[in-house]
Amino acid sequence: MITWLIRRLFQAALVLLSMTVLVFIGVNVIGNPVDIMISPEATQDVRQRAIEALGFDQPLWRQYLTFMGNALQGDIGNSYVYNQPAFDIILQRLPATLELALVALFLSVVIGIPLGLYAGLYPDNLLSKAIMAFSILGFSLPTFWVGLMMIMVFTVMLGWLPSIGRGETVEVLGMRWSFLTWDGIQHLILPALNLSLYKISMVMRLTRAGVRETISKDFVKFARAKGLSPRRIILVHVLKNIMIPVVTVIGLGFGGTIAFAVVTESVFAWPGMGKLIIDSINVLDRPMIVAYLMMIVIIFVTINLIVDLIYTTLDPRVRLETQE
Amino acid sequence: MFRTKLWSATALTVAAAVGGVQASASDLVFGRSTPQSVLDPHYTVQPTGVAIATDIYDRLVRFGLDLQLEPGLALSWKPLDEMTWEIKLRPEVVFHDGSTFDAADVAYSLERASSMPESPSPMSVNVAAVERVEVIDDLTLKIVTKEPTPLLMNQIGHVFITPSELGDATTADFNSGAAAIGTGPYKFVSWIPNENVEVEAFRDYWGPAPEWDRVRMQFITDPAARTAALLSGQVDVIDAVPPADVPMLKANADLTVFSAPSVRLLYMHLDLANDNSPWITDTEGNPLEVNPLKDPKVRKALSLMLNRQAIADRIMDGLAAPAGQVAAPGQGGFSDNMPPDPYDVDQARALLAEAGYPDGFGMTLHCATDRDVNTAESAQAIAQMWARGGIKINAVDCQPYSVYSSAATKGEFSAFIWGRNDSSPDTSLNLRNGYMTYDADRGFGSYNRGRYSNQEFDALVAAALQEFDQETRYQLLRDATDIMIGEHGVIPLYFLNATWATRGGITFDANMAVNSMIQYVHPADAM
Repeated sequence: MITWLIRRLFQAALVLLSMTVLVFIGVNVIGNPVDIMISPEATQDVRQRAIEALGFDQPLWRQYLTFMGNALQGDIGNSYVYNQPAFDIILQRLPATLELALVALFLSVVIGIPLGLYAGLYPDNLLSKAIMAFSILGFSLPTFWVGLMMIMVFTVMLGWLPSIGRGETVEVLGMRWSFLTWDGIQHLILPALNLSLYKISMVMRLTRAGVRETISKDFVKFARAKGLSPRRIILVHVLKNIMIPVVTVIGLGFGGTIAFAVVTESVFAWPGMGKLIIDSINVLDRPMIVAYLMMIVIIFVTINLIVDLIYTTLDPRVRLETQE
Repeated sequence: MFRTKLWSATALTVAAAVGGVQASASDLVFGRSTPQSVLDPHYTVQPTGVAIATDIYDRLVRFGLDLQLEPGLALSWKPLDEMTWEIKLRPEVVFHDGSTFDAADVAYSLERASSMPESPSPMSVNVAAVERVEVIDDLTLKIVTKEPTPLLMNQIGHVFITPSELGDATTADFNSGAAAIGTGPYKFVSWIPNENVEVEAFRDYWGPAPEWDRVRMQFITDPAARTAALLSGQVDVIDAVPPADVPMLKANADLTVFSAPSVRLLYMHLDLANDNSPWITDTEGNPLEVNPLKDPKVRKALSLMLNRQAIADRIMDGLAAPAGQVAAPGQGGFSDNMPPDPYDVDQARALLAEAGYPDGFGMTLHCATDRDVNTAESAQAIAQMWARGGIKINAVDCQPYSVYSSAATKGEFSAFIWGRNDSSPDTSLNLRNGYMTYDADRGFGSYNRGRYSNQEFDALVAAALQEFDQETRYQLLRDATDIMIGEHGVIPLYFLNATWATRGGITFDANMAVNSMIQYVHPADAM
């Protein structure tokens, strides 16, 4: 367990390191932020001084070493756009995205698994077919379009739910949360539903496929023969056996949701961190790009870790030592 | 437990949407396309830094709807000699914290604006000409410049004035609100990054009384979401209305659309530097030995092939105006001799033949996808119009702006669409940076990406930059424009409209400079 953990952490450090090298080379190939952002009224002199102050006149390897030197002391650098430490900017926006992603995750589990289970148990039922048809839509409709349609129907036409921002928030542990006020919950519903639509469909289909496959296995027949109640067979034995792929998908999907919730966030003007990476790349805000990707690597590594730990509880045959 | 001071505006607006309850007329929710990245008004000249600052802080001058200077915190200004200016300040102006505005505050702000080196778009642009600032008395300043600078007020007029008592306040102090103190009509209440900024009326404002008690500026970067927010009544005003939504908004009786041609010009840069331009070929696709774009006749032909009105009407949904020069109408230096070129394919073909290209030549056109609305569509249309005129179009290549702008600056394109908004009172800086012969040492032509060069033009602009008499300066600029546009140093395409939309009878001063200031929003009963 300990060696496994150490090896995992070492891998993560390696990924972080190569990511910073890639970002430095990539951004350098494109250009520098001064040329993109500086006022057209600027004289050559002002431009040159800005380039020198930001270190863009130095060779790339020296820029990189300076960055690494500072980074090892915990200083990733100030964002060029926000003039604030890049990590602070991300941490400021992380709670909003985290909240949205968690609610979406919750919805995908509480809606996806029961519906998938039903469709797996009664595949020929009309309702099951409707569920499957819905899941195809959930897969194939683009998120931004669904988001805009939701706004058109529920906000513009019916006027039931707001579509802009987080609403009233409550501060807990120094972070603002929407789900603790009624106004905040109203603001959460549409974006969370929009973000979870794809996941719901995915979880539903995985659950259904798993149920269909497992239900005819010997151990299920044996359990029936033994006289266990159908409820216990399905909720304990079947469900536990089909959960591994579902947990994998939900886990990795959760990382992706946090990292790239950009479409939902911009459609619903949700002040999360999704759009941050796009904006930063557009103006080549290098400290921001590096800090953001570091954050994402950390999130993915953590989630993988948690997913692996859940495996061991779901299936005792899975041993961490053999996991790569 | 801390509750954000939303004064339940969200609840109110939702209630308004649900039950038709009108929110108090003196509260405003403004849906804006540009989020605020810093509250420090001296960090950057980007809209993300200054868009909200204009309502919180004042400047020495105000920029009128016609782009001309009006007295702001400075009551009057005059040059004592070529290098020295005397500025008289407005008396009895108070800051939001109650302290009195005086000359020391101006000196402090100008100094602070020049001391932010680690900004990629520094405010120091606007104080680069200042050698030193002398405080004569509480309300009089003397400014000594490094060189004769007739446009000094236009430059330092962009610097927001903060109290000198702030000392070495950092960007973080401004962001927290502690240092966000100005003399403007609205004072800072709160900022939730990426979500909203709230301000409230400053009752001791020296100018016209603020028309709104409280204003929340809600950042909605997605254009469709902005429209939806207005339709559903969650916001009262939106800026940067997407052109495609305008007919639908106009048809809605609750809403009003305000649109005006802006100073945002889209124009075609042509590579005039290289003898064999990278994206020019013969009609077979082989590289050409000479660069046809260096011939003014070819450039004129390219301009005549364009049906600018059709692009403005069809592609821009009528929200653009054909451009014949780089100055917007009304700007100092706008020349009456230079209307947009007519659409005349026959003449264009004749000119091409005259220049030695009866069968045309091959060309690839470049543009940015994510900078201005529908630029890629315009590029497609332009390519087709050129093809109709006898040019063989090899490709239309549109790229993300971050990649595109770097490549364009390095001179890697042959024909490429560029956007530029010059909202200064006259064109002298625009002509200096955009079209004078590139000279890194003297700082001329720093944005002259096509490397247009004409000594007569250079001399006229250089003279204008040193000319203190306004009418003489404007005449020099007009003459310079006649030369540069006369030989098509660039091909102007169109000016984009700036568009706002409001609900409930609220009015907006549509303006050329594309400012979404609260001061431009007026309650329905004000009319």
